[in-house]
Amino acid sequence: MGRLFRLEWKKLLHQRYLLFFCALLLAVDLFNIYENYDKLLRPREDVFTVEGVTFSVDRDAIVLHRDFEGPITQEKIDRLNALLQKAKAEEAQIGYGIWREGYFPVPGVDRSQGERLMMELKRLTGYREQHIQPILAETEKLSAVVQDGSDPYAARMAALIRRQYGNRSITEFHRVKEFEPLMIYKLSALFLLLLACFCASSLFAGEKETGMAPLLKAAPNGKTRLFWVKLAALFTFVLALGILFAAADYGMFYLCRRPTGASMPFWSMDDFADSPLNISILGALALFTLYRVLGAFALALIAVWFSSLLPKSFPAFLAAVLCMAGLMLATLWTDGFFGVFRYFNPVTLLISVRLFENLRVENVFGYPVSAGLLALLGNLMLAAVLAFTARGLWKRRA
Amino acid sequence: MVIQELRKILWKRKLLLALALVLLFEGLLAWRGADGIFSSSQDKRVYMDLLQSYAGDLTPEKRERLDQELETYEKAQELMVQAEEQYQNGELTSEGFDARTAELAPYRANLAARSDFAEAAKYAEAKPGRTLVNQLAWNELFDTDRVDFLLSVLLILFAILAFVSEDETDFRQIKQTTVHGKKAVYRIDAVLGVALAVLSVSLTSLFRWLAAGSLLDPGSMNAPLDSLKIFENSPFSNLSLAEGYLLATGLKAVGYTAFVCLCFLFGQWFRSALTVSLAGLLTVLLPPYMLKAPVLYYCSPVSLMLSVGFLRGDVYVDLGGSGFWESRAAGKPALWISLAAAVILILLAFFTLGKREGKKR
Repeated sequence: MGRLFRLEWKKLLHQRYLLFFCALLLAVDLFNIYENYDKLLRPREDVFTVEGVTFSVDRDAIVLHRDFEGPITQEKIDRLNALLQKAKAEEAQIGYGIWREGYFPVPGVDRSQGERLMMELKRLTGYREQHIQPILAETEKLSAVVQDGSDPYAARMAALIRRQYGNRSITEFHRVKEFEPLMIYKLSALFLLLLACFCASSLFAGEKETGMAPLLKAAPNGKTRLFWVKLAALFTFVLALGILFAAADYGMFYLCRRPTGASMPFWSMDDFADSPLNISILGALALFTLYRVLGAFALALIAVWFSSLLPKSFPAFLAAVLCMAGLMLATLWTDGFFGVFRYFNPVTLLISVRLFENLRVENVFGYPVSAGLLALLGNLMLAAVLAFTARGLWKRRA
Repeated sequence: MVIQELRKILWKRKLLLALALVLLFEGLLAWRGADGIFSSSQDKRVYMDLLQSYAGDLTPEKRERLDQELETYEKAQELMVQAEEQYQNGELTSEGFDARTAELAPYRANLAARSDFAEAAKYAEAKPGRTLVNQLAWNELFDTDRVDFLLSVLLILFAILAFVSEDETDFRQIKQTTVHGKKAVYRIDAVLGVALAVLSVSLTSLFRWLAAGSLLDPGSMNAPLDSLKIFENSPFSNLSLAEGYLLATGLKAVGYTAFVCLCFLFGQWFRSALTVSLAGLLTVLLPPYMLKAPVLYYCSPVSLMLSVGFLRGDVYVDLGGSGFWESRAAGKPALWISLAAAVILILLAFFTLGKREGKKR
């Protein structure tokens, strides 16, 4: 079994141009991040100038933020207030510049960054009052209504909300906002998917093309064990690629945006303040990478299915790509979250962060079950159906 | 020989079926796009009625009438906002609010259509020489800001069936020993590919034209290109809208021709259908992600597939709610460079196909 697995891995890696395409897509992915989130890597003179006025860039934010990172204290807030007052006074003498997104400060007077920092500090210190207390208050009302036990689902829901949100508060400031674009970054998922399909479509059709299929099927392990070994090799390959892309994305984002506080809770980011996930940002990144790998693998199983059905790799690849394009369009057009369909659509696993933005739950036999978990289970079921039918096709077809 | 090749690729390998399916789908998409311009048939009627009354050059008399109408509309909007504020502040009872809403209802019916028309009218009024045109329908017609994925798949398929499948069945060696097998057959296949690219682009453009045609005022065909808001800063403002559409279609046809030639070359280099499929798809999928480096992108031959970018501009400057397109990289020099690159690619494909033996798989 182990030997078969090693040989299949070797075969995957020796597929023509696979490593070239992996390297190309990784380079394009990193280039795309650099082009979109590059402000800190660019040379200092690259800051933009409008009508003779040069504007500051995010680089200044790092310098400013460095002094305020760590526990939020009143002393820090007072110091920032004093800085802002000083900047305001200086700015009044120089005037504003206008850039297309609104008002930006003139160079040397970093009021805009300071005000943003102040807003962030206020948001963090007021997190519990703004986000958690309203949720808990609603939950208490719900509990009061259903305390007679007439609605077990509502009671369980209230308990779940208390468990998920009860103990939250933020006392530290870090540049966690810089993680937000990384959380919703999707290009590497598309590349992972393409590469997974590229490998998957020749998994069985490749054997048929070279005339090896009848020989393999005649071998003792050829019909069943070989099939599962090939799938295992594909899965581990997709997992390795997924980890590689995730690590590269993280590294490039780190170089471009210099985020800090990866161990802060996931919900300390403004965009995910209502998320039910009680894990760190790094943990969330790992979780989303796993979801992404499972989504890419489930979609690659469509290519495997076509590979078992069709005699050649390239029609299998094209058919799978068209199916995926259709699924992606359907996800976009229906906002990806259309009834029960979302739980059987692997594309939702590729953009799994959306499943964890808010507390999305379904009533399953009176128990509140997270949409993230349901999507995972539903798509694993779909993957199992695809895998078993593909095995049937491989066993039967000449 | 041409007939034999056509028969082989279109009929025996069922590309004709794929072509028919792609064209059918393109027709459906064009019809769906034109049908979805207005949110309701009532909106469509209101917009078209307004357009009919004011279409064409804005004479002083028309302008005055239009100003009055827009003023009434804006006044109704203001009164409604005031009423809402008063109701929220408790200065107006719910009965009073309902009465005010009913009073203003005739002026506020089909708000979206009136608002769109007001925007179009204001844009036409802002500069002399502009014509009031159906902005929504023309926008839909020029809405080619993405590479046509299905058309690209069809052309990749053609390149594979014409150039790679014979390698995969080991027929290449036999073919090359025949009299015309070294050059003529390859050139015929290349010409057929180019013809397929031009034909499919022309047909899809024709479908869009036919689908949106009923919404276009015949007088707007000769309107200057900058009558359409997206072409406000176009470097081709001396063209009319119809000429602009023809130019966009022509550039697109050159772009797809360059693309199919690139796929031929991929076929020659990679000698594997699967690899050619992936390389072709990446050629289509990757460029939009390099738009942040537009100089690179707009000087490449495949950028012609997004021909409207050259006419309109490549960067949208957002001013919060409104904005304009600006040509930063996609100006006339970039167009000449990409056209030259496309021609070089096409010639390269024509003169190198069949020459290189390459490594056997």
